[in-house]
Amino acid sequence: MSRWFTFAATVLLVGAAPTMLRAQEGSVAGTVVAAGSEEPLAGALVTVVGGTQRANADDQGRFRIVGITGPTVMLEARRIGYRATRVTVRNGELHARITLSASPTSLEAVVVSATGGRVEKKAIGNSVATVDAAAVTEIAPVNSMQGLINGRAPGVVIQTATGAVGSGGRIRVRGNASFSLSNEPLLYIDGVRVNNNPSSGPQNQDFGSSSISRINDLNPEDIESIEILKGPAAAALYGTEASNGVIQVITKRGVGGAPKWNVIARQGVNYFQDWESRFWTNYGVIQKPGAPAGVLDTLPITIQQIRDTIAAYGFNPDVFRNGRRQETEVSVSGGSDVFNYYASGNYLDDAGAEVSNYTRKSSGRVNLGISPSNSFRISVNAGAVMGPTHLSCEAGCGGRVWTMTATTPSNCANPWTHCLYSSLPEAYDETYQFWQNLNRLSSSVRFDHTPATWFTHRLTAGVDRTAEQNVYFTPRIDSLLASTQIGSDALGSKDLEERQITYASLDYAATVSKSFRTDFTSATTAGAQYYRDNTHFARAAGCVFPLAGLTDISATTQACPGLPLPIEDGFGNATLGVYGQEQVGWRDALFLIAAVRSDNSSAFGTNYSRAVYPKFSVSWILSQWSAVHDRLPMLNELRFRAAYGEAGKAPATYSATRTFIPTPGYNDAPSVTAGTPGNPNLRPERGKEIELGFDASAFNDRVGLEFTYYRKRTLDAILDRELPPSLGYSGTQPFNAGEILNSGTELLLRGTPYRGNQLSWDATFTLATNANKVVDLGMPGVTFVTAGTYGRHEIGYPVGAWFEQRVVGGVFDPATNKATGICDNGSGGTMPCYGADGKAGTADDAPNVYLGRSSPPTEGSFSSTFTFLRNFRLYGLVDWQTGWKKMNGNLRVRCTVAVRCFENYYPAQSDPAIVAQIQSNRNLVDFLIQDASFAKLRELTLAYDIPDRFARQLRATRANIALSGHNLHTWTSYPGLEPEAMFLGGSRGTFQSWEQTTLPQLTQWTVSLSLTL
Amino acid sequence: MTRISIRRASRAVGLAGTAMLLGIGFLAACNGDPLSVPSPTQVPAKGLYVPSNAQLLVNGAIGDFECAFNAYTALGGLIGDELNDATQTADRFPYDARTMTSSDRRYAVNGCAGLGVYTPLQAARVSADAIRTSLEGWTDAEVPDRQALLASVDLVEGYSMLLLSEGFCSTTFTTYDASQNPVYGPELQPKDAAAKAEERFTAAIAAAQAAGSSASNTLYAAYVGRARARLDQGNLAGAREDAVLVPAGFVYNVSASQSSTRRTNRVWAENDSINQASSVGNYYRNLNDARVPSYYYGKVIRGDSIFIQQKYPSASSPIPLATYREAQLIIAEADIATNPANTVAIINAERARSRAPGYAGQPDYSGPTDAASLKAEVVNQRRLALWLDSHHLGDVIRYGITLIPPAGTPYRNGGTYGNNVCLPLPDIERLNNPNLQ
Repeated sequence: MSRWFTFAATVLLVGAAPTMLRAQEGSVAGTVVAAGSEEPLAGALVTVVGGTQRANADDQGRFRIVGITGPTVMLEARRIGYRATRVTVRNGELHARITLSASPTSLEAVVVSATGGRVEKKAIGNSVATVDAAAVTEIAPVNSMQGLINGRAPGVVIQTATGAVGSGGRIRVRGNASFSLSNEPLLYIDGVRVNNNPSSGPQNQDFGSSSISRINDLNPEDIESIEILKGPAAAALYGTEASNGVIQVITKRGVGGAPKWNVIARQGVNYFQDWESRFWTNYGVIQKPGAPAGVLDTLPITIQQIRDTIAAYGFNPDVFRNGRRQETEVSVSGGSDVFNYYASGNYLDDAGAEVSNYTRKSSGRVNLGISPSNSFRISVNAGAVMGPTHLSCEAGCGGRVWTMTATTPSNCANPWTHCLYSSLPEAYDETYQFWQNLNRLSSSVRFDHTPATWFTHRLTAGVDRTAEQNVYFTPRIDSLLASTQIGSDALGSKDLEERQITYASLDYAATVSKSFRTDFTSATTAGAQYYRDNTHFARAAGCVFPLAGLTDISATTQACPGLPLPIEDGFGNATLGVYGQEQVGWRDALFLIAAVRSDNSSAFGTNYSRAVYPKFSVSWILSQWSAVHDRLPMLNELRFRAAYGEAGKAPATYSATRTFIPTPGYNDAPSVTAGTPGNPNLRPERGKEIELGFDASAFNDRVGLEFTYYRKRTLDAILDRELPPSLGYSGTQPFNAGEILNSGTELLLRGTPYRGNQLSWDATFTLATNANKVVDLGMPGVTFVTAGTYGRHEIGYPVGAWFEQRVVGGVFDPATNKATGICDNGSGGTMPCYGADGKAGTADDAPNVYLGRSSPPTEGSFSSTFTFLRNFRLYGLVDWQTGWKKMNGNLRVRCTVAVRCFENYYPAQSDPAIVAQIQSNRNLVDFLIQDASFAKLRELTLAYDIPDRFARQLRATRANIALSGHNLHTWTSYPGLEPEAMFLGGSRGTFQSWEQTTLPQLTQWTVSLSLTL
Repeated sequence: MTRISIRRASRAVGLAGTAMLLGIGFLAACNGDPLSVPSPTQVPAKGLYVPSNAQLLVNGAIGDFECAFNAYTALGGLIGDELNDATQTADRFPYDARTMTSSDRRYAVNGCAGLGVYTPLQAARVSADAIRTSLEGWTDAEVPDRQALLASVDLVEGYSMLLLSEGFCSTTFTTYDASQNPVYGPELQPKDAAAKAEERFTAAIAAAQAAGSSASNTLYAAYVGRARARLDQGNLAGAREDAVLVPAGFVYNVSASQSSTRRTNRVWAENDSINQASSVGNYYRNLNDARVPSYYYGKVIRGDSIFIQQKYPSASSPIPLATYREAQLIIAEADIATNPANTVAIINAERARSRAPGYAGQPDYSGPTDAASLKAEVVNQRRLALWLDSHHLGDVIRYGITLIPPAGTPYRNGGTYGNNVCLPLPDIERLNNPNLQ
């Protein structure tokens, strides 16, 4: 690859050499400022209209452009969040002043086009959610990339998994669109596709409750903006992998001028808010004092009792700690009209609420821009991140939440538990150690060449390489060998996985632009994209260290049961696509786009050759018409847009091929065993989406509105159907099952309700709805298939919905202390849950019925920024997700497995409907599937811009101090620990939102000091 | 268009062409096919079933069975009171507590290394069936020892069917036609499934006899297997006919090794001094019987004392599948009505084995010799002689043995012991098999 880059660079440089001889013509210079405040707008892009010259404004808003010919020149200045403005200046003008007005929904804003170039929003007929990351991080520090997106893009849902620091969640754009493939959107950084695995990390958590998301490797401070294409209507030209949408991350660039240094220091604390009141009072039995042996007493046990008991034995009663967060960020940017740079370094030391949970990441980025001539530009971007993330035991692994969930008085006499369920917290920390060491480098180089005003072309090549070392380590601890729970685990073990994931891509696109008859513009683009990923991993493990202090696998003395190790394996995928697009504009008011892309992929079945994805869009700017403008003078902008597009989702690697796996056979002789069943007819999923909407701004751009309706059909949806095991295969077989329909609306309302000298108020409201249902399963006569535990994909209902017997009542029999459940009979009436025969699992049982969605159909946010007394800013963000249900696995464990609930011991005093379910041996679980709607005060920041005279004493041109809180309050009726916590993998983590002994989102307070030098 | 812009346009087109050529060159560098992404570890099925791979495929079929058999033995031990669960893994509790239902997934879906039994046994059956079909189509010239190989796969197919009949409330067998399309069978009750197994043992016997001395072990194992299948069907006379053909001292083992998890003795993995996922069941502790050796590990987990079995001392200890002793016990059962003296003799031979050096064992049988008493004693001797080798769960179901602790006793992980002893046809089969919906 590196040789290829060198060759490509050489050829393009040589080819462009003649144009590098910069003409010795005139120049213009000036300043770009914001209307009203007259603040300089650093980073504003100033271009020569009809030419190729351009410059970025420096931190003082200054710009300079050379190579100007003619007596005058028209300049255009743009910046995210501002209306683009054109001014005409004379050649040689060195004090031009360009004033940009803030515009919440500016149509002149440029976004990354699917063909790789930049295009004005007004020209494209689909919505693009834009997060002005630089502005967000300037107002309020954010914890992660997912935190940066959350609540700022309607239709984009972040589902966090756990509050463990260093972990991450999953992202859903416009609902679930696939049965069995990933529903994650693609991630591009500076035009290059990169690893977006939402659940990496050591295999330490049953069901994947505490996973590390690769998108969070990015440092939010390095991001200039994020653009989200939400579906096939927008992402058709991204091809076979893009039907779940595309997240485009644009990192910061250097701007012309002297070096500008930014230094940010943060100190903060993470903690499990009100943990003592969030666990439950459990019940258990102990030998009744003074009574004959076997006579038991039922007792409750409270958290306070547990604290007291732990403390009495000399252990720390604070099960959850206050973890410290420290972050230091240094960046520098600057340059000239020929060369600019942005470089940054960041160190994050973040400790969670559990002693064993912390992350220490170092990251850096270097972005270089070289413009040897006005027509040729080379951009080189490289970002690196490294460091360990240590996770705690969670879910089935055990750990602090686990041992607190099912406390019992019957364990109080056990010296290893002291009333806790399994082990003392310290024993978990000491015994189970999991971490991921990360080394990741994402780099790209892009050549932009504009040899003529009517022709541009660009070549982008990028490599994203992630090296993970995932470790599961238990040291030998002789003192714990006799522990009732840790037991043989204290003999020690180590499971080590080295995983390397490489994404490589190569894009070429050429665009011919022309105008004709003065009213029409045309841009014709053709391009090709090659993409290839490869994952290689090796894993080894060993058990039983003979002595304490040994740490490596070679020091173990036993093979580990249950681990088929060592292993080395790999998989990959390759896609080759070509595309063409024609964009026509008329009078700068009507824009039409027609495009088509064709892909082939290594993952397609052998009986399927090539996928073709078309796209059409129209954008009609009504406010350009005097008839509209004259009648509605308060309107600044109004446009209608419509788009239709198709995009795909490739099958999983090798899933189309029937395979066998080498394995030792009889007497260890070489042999093979059945692997995957394969499916030679497997095609990619095809998303077909129509999108309609409008954008408007009014009252001098103080109010902006974006509204979108979408309807997305996923055809040929791939379903990993469970095969009847009698066919001889384990696992599942993918096939093109049928159709999923997603439809909904997205609303974004931005405005400045009040703007004054001493106070201004900016507010943003987002609301998105999603109706999701399975239309067809592709199997005649089959109306549903199972989707994990207690879930179904059923025709007419949402993907992965909860389906179980609905218990509507119960009848308690005091003679037996047993209750029988009364269930919904599926047709409006009721019936005994177990039917006439009273036995579970027989044909006359009450039917499983729809209990609810497992993902939120409605989400939204409200954020406000108050700027007052000139230097103070108060920012708050509340987001919410409503209308969905979760499995309260904590209640399940306590009541149906560990027998810790009041109802277990006092059934006569309890709701018979609940008692019937608790006594049902987990056949009736309706009471565990609970409404998880919530609203959360996600962010609150009070920032103070230190007056310049004080800043100068710090040798800074700007200084700012901010106090920020995250996850400060949750409004919910969900009775579990946390409405957001859930598994991310395994049979309970794919669709179901299943919470079980996972750590809630941590509350965080930080103080930040930011200096611009 | 000016002269300059024409020159620039020409240069641009040249550059575009160069870039395209670079791209093509890049793709061509990818081993000629830019979309080729071979798997480094998986073998495509296409071209695998050829005569030269016969031994490889037979090894695989036997390996599939051996792993499934190990899982069945361990899980059957948990259900049938030979082992007690000692983990805190909730989805293992239903087997130990005998409350499993058809929706439980561990027994139904898991691989054999994870105590799955239904899918691994079905996979073993199909794996054997596939290579058997191929072997039947190939010639002796193409495949050396073809008859012996046929006997081997008939044997493991038969045993796969037999375990699916013994441990399950019902089962089903799917086969493939010549075009590799599935042919779904009906739901089979245990005796019907045992009859299918008997057919395979009969075929194994025929092939082994055709193979000659090289397949004698397979031949005797098939006799034991067919006798067991006939016993399951209540055909005592038929069972006896096969059992008497088994020579003294005969043992056919399921091999195990430390080479991989799949090959590990699963009982050992469940219950040894390192892996205390289970404890020896209450009934078998402190019996002072050489056939059920165990010791107290000096540890209590979740209220249960941990006893470690010593029948399988290592991960590579083989588990007997078919033995002369089992054949003798089948004869003992068959002779209760017709030759009780022989039944007592066989019982006493077993009792003598309990008195190996270091063990007090059991004295010779001195109880009543009526049919019911002798039957109970045969059942008891089977329980001890065939401990932890896959027989007990079937015996529990067939003889109605009362397990320890009995149903209704409080279970240490919550709830009470149930009385579900046969594994139900799992939901994954019933919901996805078009013949069973």
